[in-house]
Amino acid sequence: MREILLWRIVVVTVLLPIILMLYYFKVSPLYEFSLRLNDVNYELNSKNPSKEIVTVLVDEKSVNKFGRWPWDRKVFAQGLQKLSMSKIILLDMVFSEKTNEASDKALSETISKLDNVVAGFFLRNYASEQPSTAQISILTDSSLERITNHEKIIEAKFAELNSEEILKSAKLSACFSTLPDKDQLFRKYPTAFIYKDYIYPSLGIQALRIYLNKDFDINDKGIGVIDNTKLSLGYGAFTPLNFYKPQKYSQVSFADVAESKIDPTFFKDKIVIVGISETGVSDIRATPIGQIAGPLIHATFLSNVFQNDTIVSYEKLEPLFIVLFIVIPLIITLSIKNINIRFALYFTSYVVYFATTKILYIEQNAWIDAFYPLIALILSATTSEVITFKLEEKKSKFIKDAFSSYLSPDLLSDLVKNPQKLQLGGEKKELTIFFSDIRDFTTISESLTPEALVSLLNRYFTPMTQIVMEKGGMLDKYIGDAIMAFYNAPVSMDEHPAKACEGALLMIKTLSNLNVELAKEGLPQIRIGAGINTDEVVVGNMGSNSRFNYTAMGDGVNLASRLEGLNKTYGTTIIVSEFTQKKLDDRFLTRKLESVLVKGKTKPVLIYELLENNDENRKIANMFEEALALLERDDIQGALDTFKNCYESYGDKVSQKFYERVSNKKEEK
Amino acid sequence: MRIYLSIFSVCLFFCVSLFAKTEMLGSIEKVEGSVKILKNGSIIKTNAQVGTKLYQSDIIITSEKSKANVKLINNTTIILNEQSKIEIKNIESFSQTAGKALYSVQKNNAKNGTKVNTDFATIGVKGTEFIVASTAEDKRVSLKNGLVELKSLKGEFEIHRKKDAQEYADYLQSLGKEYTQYEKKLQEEYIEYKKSFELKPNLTISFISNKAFENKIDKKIEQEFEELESFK
Repeated sequence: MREILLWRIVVVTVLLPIILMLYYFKVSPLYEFSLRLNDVNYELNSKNPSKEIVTVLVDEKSVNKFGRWPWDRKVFAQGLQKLSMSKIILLDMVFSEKTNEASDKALSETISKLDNVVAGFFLRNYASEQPSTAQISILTDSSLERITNHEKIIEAKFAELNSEEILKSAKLSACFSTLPDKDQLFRKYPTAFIYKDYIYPSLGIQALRIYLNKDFDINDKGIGVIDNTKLSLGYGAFTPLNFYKPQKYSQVSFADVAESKIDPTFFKDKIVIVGISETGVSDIRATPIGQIAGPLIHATFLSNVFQNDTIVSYEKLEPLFIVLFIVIPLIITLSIKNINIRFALYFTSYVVYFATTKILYIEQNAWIDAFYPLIALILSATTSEVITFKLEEKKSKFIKDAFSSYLSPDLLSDLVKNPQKLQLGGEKKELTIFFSDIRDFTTISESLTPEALVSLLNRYFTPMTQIVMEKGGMLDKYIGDAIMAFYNAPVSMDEHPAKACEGALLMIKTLSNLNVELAKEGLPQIRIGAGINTDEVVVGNMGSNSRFNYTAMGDGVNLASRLEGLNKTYGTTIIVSEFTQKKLDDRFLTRKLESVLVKGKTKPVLIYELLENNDENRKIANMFEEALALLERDDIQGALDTFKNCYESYGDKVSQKFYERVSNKKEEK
Repeated sequence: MRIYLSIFSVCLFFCVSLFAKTEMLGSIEKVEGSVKILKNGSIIKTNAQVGTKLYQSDIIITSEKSKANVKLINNTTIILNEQSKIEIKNIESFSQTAGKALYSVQKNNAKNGTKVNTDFATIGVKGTEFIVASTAEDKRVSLKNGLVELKSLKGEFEIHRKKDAQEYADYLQSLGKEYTQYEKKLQEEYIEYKKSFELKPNLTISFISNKAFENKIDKKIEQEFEELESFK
């Protein structure tokens, strides 16, 4: 148990830092897998984008109508004028170069007249030239001045700005740059960038500032705040986007707008994003919902804010879920023995977690990673299972090594399969203990050479041991010529007193066959005495760290040994205690001998002789018990006659011993 | 009667609060180049002109080659150098997030002291004239007269101070030949760790993260004072 716990601590201390490092450092390709797995959320988003946001696209239809982009700015200005009823126009495009004066003037005058246009610009890390001081000076009017915490905001070295005229004519400017994730998909929306020591809002944030007439802040906790909306901000002050189904976005063709095919009132008080979707111009972005026009990314952000669909990130809790899924397999392997149930529990725990994250997303827009907990579960479960397997293998080997000589193969395999049946630490348990000893062993040993003696003992021990094992007993040890065995441990069994008695009777029978062979070979005959007792004793692995045995100890064991010794006194072969006899059924024939005060015991124990259940023995037992009954009634002569009759008729040595003892007592009186 | 008094007190409190929020704190005295103001509650910056009134939470921004002289109703004067940004949080509290500015605070007007918040320290004054520079390259407070208290935003400052020349000579003499020991001790004495400390007149202190390096005001800084004071 300690070893298992120790291994679990090792698993946690090794796996946890590894998985947390993979998580925090966004190691490829796992990070990309996590992004893709979490993208499943978007499939579940059945909400609709805000109707207040419209995207006007320079699409294929527009290009077919007005020619390849960029157009003459007069054409664009004319189309733009049709959006005059809108609340805000966001230009997701940049007019950095001067073209012809008249067209440039037409566009800047239109923008100025509309007085609701946010001119877009983009940032870049490399450029051959910087915007003019005048351009930057105008641009600073659009900067954010009330950002409390700008730690997360990233800085860009270069910018592609609109021409001075456009910058002047626009209400404000804003940056439409964004950055993809590691897998080149756009999932996040920037709130602000730093350029030349000023913080500039993204197109979406600038639109919200104007729409709500509220300033944007990133508070001390690093959360983006505008009016009542809070934005979870990650790296670079980017906020996660909650994409809708692509077909649900409100998109119109610039050509339709320019040709007045769309009623101008359609745009009334709406935020209109004007951008390009024509493939040749390449403002097409790869997103989790597929390839979409760049302006739809701004539309997604604004819709998220308008519809209260902004994603709530639970990044801070995610490490806890990783820890949880490392611990789950450790608990499961510790408490569940069945491997199929264990695997079912691993699977169920993850399914529950995965389903919960999806429900929380649908209900609360909560974004909880489902990938790294899965990795944690797989690694932790695999490691735990391997360790459990290795420890079980080690335990099996130990059990095999420790018990193969003492248990039957069936019992051994049962024990290996169910090691929990074995309480190696020691336990108090009712056992039936068996002791046997060879009568007159000294005489036998003196008559034989050592080699012949060892050979004889082996011929005796082999069948005796086999009988113990066959009957499900555990051979504890050989003590010289004696055998000690017990039943009901290490594997529990029913009717262990009966099994022990069956074994003892079989031993006597087997021994008589052996004696026939020995007689033929001119070897001495082997006669044994056996003692059987049933009692609650302590059983377990006992010994030192380096050498130990699975054995039983206690008064019950001592009594079995003493009973074996009493056979000499009574001329019997097998003596069982009253505790064993009580548990035997009709199949067994026993005869009561008497109550004896055994050494080390304060209370006398009633002892019985176990006999083979046959007609003759039943007659002997009946006659003997009749004699005992006469003795109890003080009919000494009657008892003596019955004892005499019994040993003379059947050669019963016990009756002879009792006859002699009663006669002697009578004479003493 | 008690109820009427209570209602009157509450009304008075609201009126005072309302007044406090809309109270004019000062105005633009002088403008050079392009100076913008971002009014509290607005997202559009407007051009500052002489006489433009200033209120709580207004932000004054100067462009390149521009200056602004701000005079508050308690006679505190702030001269913003080019590319500077100061938010007037209230009459006694300012937040300077960019550029360089000279603050001239009248002693008798400072009840609780005036505070200037920067991203490197909080500067507390009770009547004095000082320059605060808050740019990426130059984070500094230079003091001509009076006393300025500097408080760390996080942890302690590691203050590197120079010993007075005479003190240095006396110390050297007293130690005689044990110059090595002196040098070691001198090193230890130079650095102090404090959460807040006072800056004495004619000293300037520059900050690199939490390290503060104290020096005497040199000619360059004196010129800086003259240049900004000339815009008063």
